[in-house]
Amino acid sequence: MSIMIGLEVHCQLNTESKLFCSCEAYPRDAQPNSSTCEICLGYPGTKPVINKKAIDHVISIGLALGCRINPESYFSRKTYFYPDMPKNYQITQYEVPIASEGSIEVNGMRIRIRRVHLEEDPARIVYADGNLETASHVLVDYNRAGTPLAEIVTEPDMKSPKEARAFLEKLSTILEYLKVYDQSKGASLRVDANISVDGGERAEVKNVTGFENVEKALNYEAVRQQNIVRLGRKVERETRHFDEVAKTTRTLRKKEFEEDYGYIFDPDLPVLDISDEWKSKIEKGMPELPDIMVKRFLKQYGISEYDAKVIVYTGKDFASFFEDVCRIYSKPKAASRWMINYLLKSLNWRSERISQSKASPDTFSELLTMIDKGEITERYAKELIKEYVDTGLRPSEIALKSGAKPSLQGLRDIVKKVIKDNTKAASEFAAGKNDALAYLIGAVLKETGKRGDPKEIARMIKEEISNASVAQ
Amino acid sequence: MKRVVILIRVKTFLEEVKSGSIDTDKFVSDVKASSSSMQEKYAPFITLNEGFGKATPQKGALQYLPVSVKDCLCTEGIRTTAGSKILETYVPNFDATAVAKVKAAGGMILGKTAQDEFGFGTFSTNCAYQVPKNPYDPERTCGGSSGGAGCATAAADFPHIAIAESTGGSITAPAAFTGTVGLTPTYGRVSRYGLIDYSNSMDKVGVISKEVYDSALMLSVIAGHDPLDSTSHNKGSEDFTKYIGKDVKGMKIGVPKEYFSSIDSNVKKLVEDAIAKLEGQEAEISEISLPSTKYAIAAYYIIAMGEASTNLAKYCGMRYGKQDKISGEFSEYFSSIRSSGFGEEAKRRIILGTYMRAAGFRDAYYIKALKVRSLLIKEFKAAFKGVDAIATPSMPMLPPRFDEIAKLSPLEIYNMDKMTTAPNLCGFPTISIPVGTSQGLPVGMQLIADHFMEGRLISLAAAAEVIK
Amino acid sequence: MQRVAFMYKKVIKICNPKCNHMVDFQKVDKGMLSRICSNAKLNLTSSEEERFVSEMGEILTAFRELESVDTKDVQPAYHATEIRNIWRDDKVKKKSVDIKKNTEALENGYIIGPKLV
Repeated sequence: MSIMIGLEVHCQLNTESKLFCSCEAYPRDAQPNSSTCEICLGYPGTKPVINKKAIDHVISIGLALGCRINPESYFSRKTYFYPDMPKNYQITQYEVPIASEGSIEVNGMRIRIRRVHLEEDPARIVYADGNLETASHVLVDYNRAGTPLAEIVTEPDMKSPKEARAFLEKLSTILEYLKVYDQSKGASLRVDANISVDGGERAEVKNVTGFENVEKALNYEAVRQQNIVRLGRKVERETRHFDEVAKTTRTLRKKEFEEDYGYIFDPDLPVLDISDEWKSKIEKGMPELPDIMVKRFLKQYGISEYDAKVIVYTGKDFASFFEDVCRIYSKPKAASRWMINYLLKSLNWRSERISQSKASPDTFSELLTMIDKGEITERYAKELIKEYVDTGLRPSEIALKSGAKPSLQGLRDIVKKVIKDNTKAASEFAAGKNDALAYLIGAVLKETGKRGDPKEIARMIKEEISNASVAQ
Repeated sequence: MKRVVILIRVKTFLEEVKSGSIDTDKFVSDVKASSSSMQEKYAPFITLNEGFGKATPQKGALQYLPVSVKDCLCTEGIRTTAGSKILETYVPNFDATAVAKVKAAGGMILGKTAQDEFGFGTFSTNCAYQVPKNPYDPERTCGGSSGGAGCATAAADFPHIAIAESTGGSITAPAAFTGTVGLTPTYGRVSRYGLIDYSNSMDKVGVISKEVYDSALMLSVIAGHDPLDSTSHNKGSEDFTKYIGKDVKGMKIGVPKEYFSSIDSNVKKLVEDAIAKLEGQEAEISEISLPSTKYAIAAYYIIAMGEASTNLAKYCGMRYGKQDKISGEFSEYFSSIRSSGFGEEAKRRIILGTYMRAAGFRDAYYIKALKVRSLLIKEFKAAFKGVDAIATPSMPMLPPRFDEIAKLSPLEIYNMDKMTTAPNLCGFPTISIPVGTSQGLPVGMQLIADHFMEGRLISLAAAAEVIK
Repeated sequence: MQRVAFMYKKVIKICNPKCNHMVDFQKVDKGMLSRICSNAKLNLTSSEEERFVSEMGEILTAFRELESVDTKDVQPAYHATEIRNIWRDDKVKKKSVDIKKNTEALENGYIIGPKLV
């Protein structure tokens, strides 16, 4: 059965203050209701005043997603009652949003963007005892109320939950690169996912956090809906809730139709006039977007497209790290290989972003140079990276500490010892048997605990043996 | 020997305070006593300020002046109900900007005046607390929705100015019915921050006073840009009293015929006499036509109810106001609080407003009304190209009796706003001045000017005014 | 001007996706009233219902006179005067609101609200 998926992504925007008042938008370790004022608490008589930075951010997002920026846009009141609504209406943009009609490409698929608009976040509901169904009452924290949100609405162009997830991953990277979304501040992306099968009615799964959860919720829904259709029944249009623990969706309420919201223009707010100058200013100030960066990396560093995509889409900090490393260490392909296959693994294991970790381009470049020079073996380097990410110590220090990097003199001593202990092999090599060399190298490596560059060892063996011959 | 109070003009009082010749302590206690007795007789207040006169007021243009505030403006620490039971317990944490400005200028908040619930009414009979009685005849209405403000101004035997509010004519109606001056500034002239909303695109904070001078003085204090109100104009304030005494010779006054039909003949006569008086002072009178006037009531009420129905959504028994012990699912709880907290007219307007902005209907009602507003503005603007001000009666009749009002249908009551809805809908400044009495009952004349032309209104009103 | 007119047409198109016909407005029956009350969270007594149904019919009929006004190519006026591009800088101003002053429904700093289902 064919599947149609459309997403509404709510992105908490990177601002200091809230959308309509000057309360701190992302207070750290805040007590509930401590970052509030009479405006975001919805006290009677208060009025909203727009945070300009939030408008700038939405314009950026619109441009990055290939949208048209509407020269005039308006704020609307979406009126509905819910315990998380300070005014029981949400200020949003209904008639004309800031940005319309764009698209992005995800894995060769074109996903159309219907609109990007600005709206305020409601408060946060917590269930003190129990969960959504069993709680006797709710607890509301208005710290979140009034946080600026960009809502990005797609057309139902995604054909599978996997595709939806891929879209979300790409979108969130773009948002991060634009600096309009900063997870480290505590901002979140919440998704309302709409899915229908076989051209039937759609169900909406509301408020899902985490792309893995979105994929799971959609997988569950696809199966649920397909089962209904197979039984010859019709899927009902409704709003559902995703249970993170059970990984299932349940009915929340029958879908409110558009007319229930009774949209009016918000008469407390001005018309937004976005001039060409304003648009250009933002366009000029926009940072390099991921797709462009990938293209540049191919050209500038000669790495593979796959590698470029992994580096860029792991995160802006990861891409910057890579570029910094390439400035110090001149082999981008090697840098890319080691970063993607080993460094990233260690970071993931520690659930750390590179910007949060102790790794630095300086010290990482040192590691790569050590490998190049044969001061440590690749095999050992893979081990070393783990400790390096854990401790942030210079790789040379780590190697020395563990005796991993034998000094050249130390190595030579071992070579001499091995030659002495293996005179048969030594003389066979002197006579021209190359197998004997391999045997000797192996013996040295056994002594050093596999440390030391085989080429270096071979050279030393040859030198020692020829010196010995000469001596003889 | 320091003088005490009473029945002196605001202007004189303020001068005497400055010169130190007022016994301010005695003044405060006398005002308190007088207010209490006024309250007993006519009930202009919902809440009297217990802290009145306790702190020394700021040295400013209004120092020691008692100022009453319509109960839809937030006053820090003083209960604010907007005339509704649903806010019976609400005590704001902040002052409305206009109130803060009054206090900064040394005004003393006397109390919160009675009004129709949230501004919904023309006679203050929809006040969920005591309905204010007209000092000219206590069996009659003071007008509304700023009825308490009109009442207190007319009844006070001490210098006093009332801060009031108008959405569709709520300053003009009580001014007319209580024989006082009512100044409704241009929309955006005075900040609406802290004003409990009725219809955000039309609410205006204004003044009711005994004399034109007082209104002009108060406007100078409360007008000005406010960064907390996105709709407040950056025109700033000025000394509006300077417009008093200006020669009105040559000023053009338009008299629209649509406003002089189907009105009480006594009202008509007194207003025409007042216009003639201005003509006597060499103002130029001409007849004009404002044919779209007949659509103003519908357009006004559609927009007002639409906006109001969203503004009143916040009253649901959480965080402030009427609350019960939280129980039941949210729909039940909210409905229970709202149904018992709102009066009938509030419910009616919420229902009508919700209906008229619902999908399928909003084009024909809400969007249509917004377009009619455009047309009305255009019509007025065209008229103002030829005249400096427009003169009309303030109300189409004399102040009705309460028993007469009880017999009126909601639609009949809405239609009584026909003098005031058009200029209010379009945000034009207006002033209502008393132009005499008929059968012992006051009649008012309304003057309308173009946006931000309050100065002209003040000059004309002062010229037509009779100072007792 | 043309740009504005274009945008306006878009507004109308978005506002009016389903309404291609005139709905009979005068008939406000109990069913419609009940739906609105549910939407607006109001309970009416049966006598209120009776009264409101007839009053609403009368009022809405009167308001419908606007239909006769020619508003072709007229822009809606959201305010009396044009209000455009008013905003503030992204700066934090800490405030402390004494929530306890107006409600006792508090639990560990959270505001108590009625349950969702």
